[in-house]
Amino acid sequence: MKAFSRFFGFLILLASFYKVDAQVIAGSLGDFQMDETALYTMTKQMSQFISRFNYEEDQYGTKIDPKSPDYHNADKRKTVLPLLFDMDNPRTAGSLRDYFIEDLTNKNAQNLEFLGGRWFAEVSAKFIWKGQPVDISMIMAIEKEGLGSKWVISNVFFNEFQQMFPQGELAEREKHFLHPMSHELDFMNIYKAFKDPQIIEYYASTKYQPDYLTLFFYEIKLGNLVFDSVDKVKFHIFQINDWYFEVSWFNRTGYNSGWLISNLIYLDETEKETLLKIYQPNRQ
Amino acid sequence: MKKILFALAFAFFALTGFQSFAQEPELTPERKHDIDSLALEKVRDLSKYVKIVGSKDTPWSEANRVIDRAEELFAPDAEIGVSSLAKTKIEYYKVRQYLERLMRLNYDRVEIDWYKIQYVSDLQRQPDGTYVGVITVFQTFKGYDAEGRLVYQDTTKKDVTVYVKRKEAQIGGRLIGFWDVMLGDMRVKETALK
Amino acid sequence: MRELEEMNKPKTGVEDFLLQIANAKDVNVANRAINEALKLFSSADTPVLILINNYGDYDKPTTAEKYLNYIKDQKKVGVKVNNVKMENGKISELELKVVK
Repeated sequence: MKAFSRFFGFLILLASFYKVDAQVIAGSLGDFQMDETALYTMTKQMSQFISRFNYEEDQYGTKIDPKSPDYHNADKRKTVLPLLFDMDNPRTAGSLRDYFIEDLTNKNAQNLEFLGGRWFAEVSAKFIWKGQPVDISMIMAIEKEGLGSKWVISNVFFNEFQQMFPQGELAEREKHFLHPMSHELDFMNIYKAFKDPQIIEYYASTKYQPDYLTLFFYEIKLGNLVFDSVDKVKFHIFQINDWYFEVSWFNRTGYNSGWLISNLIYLDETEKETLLKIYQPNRQ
Repeated sequence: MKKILFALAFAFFALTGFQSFAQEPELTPERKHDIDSLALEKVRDLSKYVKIVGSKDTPWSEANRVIDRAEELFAPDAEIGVSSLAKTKIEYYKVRQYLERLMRLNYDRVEIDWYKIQYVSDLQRQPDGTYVGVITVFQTFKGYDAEGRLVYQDTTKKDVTVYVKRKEAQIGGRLIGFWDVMLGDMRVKETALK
Repeated sequence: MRELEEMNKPKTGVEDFLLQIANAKDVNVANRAINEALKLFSSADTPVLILINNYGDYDKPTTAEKYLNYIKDQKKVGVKVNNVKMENGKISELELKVVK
């Protein structure tokens, strides 16, 4: 009951916050006389998500002057932040969310920066692999260059590549090595490493991590892997200290649509570094 | 001594950069807003052209002339990527192709309207310094048959790329600095709204 | 006083034509108005500048003919005449300003 009334309360908050008189907006695009509240509440772009997250625009999408007391205002953020979550998901509509908002609006308030790094796009796409359609996720990152920035592919998740480098049992890995005096015999034993091609990586450093991005580029160059189409896009945000959240596109009617937080995890900064290395293997 | 002076001079130039295009003036929030309005005006112009081209009352020669005007708003390599709820894979069209397709749609009457709402993203800079942004608008489309029955309708979200670059031109013997706004790729995506 | 009137003539002349073109009931009426309006200019390619604010920011420069046809298509006038340069009794450069 409590959860329901809370949900209902937020719907009212949403509608009242964004209720728009169709006549209000001067000099706007169309003459179309329709209730546009749902379109105003929709977080239409990631740019808008960031802007709302930081409270850099009002409910009509008008940019707030940075000199105004409303700009980045903690109290204003507290009212808008709940509306950036997917309310159908209990994970993103409960007390974890409230804790997150509390964290974001205390005296150590953090804002999302487009050029602040530690956020990624995951592009799920279809490719043709040796004549068959396959799913591949490309992880993209914003990189500064010249006078501005650009999106770059920072890693790739492809089942075929992953399967080529399975984790393997430790006991089995430990059986395969070249002993420390192999050099004295001109490495005559090295041929054994190549006897079982499937576990050749056991002969690399224990710390060896396959570079999936290079494999991906290699297969593309050879023409074995051909791009077909984009399926969908979502975002992984690691920028806020001690938190990770995911942002996805919700194409639906109602007042809770567009780019919304679809997952939220409280994540210690050291754990985060480990994850970040997967998204961005070349990070310094 | 000469070597040191040379090294200093080189360092100075390396730090300040070699300006290969017009000097970028400082963009205060008010100026940014004016440039946003300029970009929005181009999207409004496009929406007017789309309405003219889509209307069955527009003579064929007029529609073609308007398609020329619409094409001029876009960068030469701009594409329009269309998907629907039924067909989620993006179909790519050149601007002219997209508008000619619109013109040839087989309805007796077409109503194209635009919601008042428009959203302008923050402008980000590309590596070459050109500002790039995205403007979101919503369009409704209704197609009627000869008997006046509504046979098709949709509401699409249109995300239009805008490129804003500072340029200069010689006008009446003096150099005028201006903002060149061009439209780029446009994404057309059907929404769940009706 | 008379001189002021003479100076303002091309300004109001242009603004009147812009409104006429925007409100024309059909393409033929608009085209006639455009042809009449072009007589005020030294040529169809007379430069037209459009100020977008008080900071000296301009939209992309265009020509008299292109701008008048643009007004015909858009059917609205969002500008006022800011400055006019004359040569031999014709407009050699037109500066418009966006009305907010």
